[in-house]
Amino acid sequence: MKKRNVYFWRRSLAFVIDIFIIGLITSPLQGLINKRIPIPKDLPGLIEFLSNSNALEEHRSFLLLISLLIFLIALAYWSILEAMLKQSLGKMIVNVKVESKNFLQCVIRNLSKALLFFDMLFFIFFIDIIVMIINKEHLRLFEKLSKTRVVR
Amino acid sequence: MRTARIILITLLSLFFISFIVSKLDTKEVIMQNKIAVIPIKGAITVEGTGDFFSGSGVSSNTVTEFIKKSNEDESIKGIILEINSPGGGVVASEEIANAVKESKKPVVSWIREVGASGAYWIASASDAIVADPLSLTGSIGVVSSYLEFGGLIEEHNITYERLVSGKYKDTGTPFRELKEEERNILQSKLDIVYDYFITDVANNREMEKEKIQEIATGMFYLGSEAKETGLIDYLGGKEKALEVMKELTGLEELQLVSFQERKSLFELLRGASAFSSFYIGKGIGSGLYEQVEVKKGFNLVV
Repeated sequence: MKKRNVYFWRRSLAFVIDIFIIGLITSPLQGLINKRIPIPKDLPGLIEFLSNSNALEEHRSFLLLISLLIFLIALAYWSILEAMLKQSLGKMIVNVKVESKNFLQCVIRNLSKALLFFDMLFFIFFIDIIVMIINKEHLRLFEKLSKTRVVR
Repeated sequence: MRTARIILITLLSLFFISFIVSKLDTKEVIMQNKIAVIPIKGAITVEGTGDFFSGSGVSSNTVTEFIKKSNEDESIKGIILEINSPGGGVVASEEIANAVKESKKPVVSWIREVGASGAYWIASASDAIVADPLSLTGSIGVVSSYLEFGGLIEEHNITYERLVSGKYKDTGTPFRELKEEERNILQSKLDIVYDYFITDVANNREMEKEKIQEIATGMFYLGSEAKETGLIDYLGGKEKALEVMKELTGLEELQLVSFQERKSLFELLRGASAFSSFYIGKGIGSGLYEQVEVKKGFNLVV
């Protein structure tokens, strides 16, 4: 039980670090969103903005495009590094590695994580994590599909 | 060494892609065809009376600042005033109307539910007014009212001790009945403001003052009636306002930029507290106007 917790939190830490790095890489795109859609920074303004159904609807196609780009960049970040080095930067820091044979396997295993950035498909990531928590091997759904795993 | 090189190349490449895409975006639309949408919602006051829950109340300081910023920003080509207000303070309304008149960029007023009295004054200063056929507008007039407790005080055997230097100093106090002379003085002040108001509206709308005087009975008009009397220019909603803005600016594509008032945490908490206290005492039933001042002083409201 103790081993599982360490394993889970170690992977979570690696994930948080990677998310931070992806945030930095995609900062120009996020800046573009801020420039184009003036999202209020204060709470009442934000509530009013979000409650106005037209507010985001006007920018629907733009947001879809940007979220697709961020999804592709995130997918490329994890897939390229894990295919070439067996580790993303986050995994390097927490000292875990990916067992995989080719690039395609890396793409598949990272699909759900990258989908976190893509519009309404972020729920797939949460399904992936729930599968990881409840199965005995502690593998994510997409790790099972790609036949890969993370080892120390 | 190889590892570091791969990491560096991967990160820089992805950042470069992100950077290039952000620059490739339809720059002309984003940077050059912006239209500022400035909300004027709730009672118009100098300092603003907005709160966390209702979000009602607009400050002339904020709106004039937004208009100034829009004029300074070269990428903003026009201003749409989104009006939903029953009016407010005389000075606050006039300050905004003046800022609208001084705007170097086209201003279109889009009246939603209500654009009456002081809010109409502001709209009249813009280049075009668009309102829904069922919007309430007009209501050109000045009101000043307060509750007078003189009778109640007397009934409860309470004495109002009057200590003043300057015989009109406590004119308008709620603790005694207004004298005829005082009433005339206050009425004359109201008339001056009224005259100023209708003169300005007449000039703004390029209509004869007499014509405005006929309309300015304090009566409100539906959008369809206001169109007939010449108080507004077009019937319609947001799409119509955008269409008019396109005509005024000569642009085919518009990018709307909403201006929102930002409040500090202290203001939010203060607003929430004031809101709850107000509604506990208020009870059921409210009209368009919530402008009765129960304190010493004589407030002019348009």
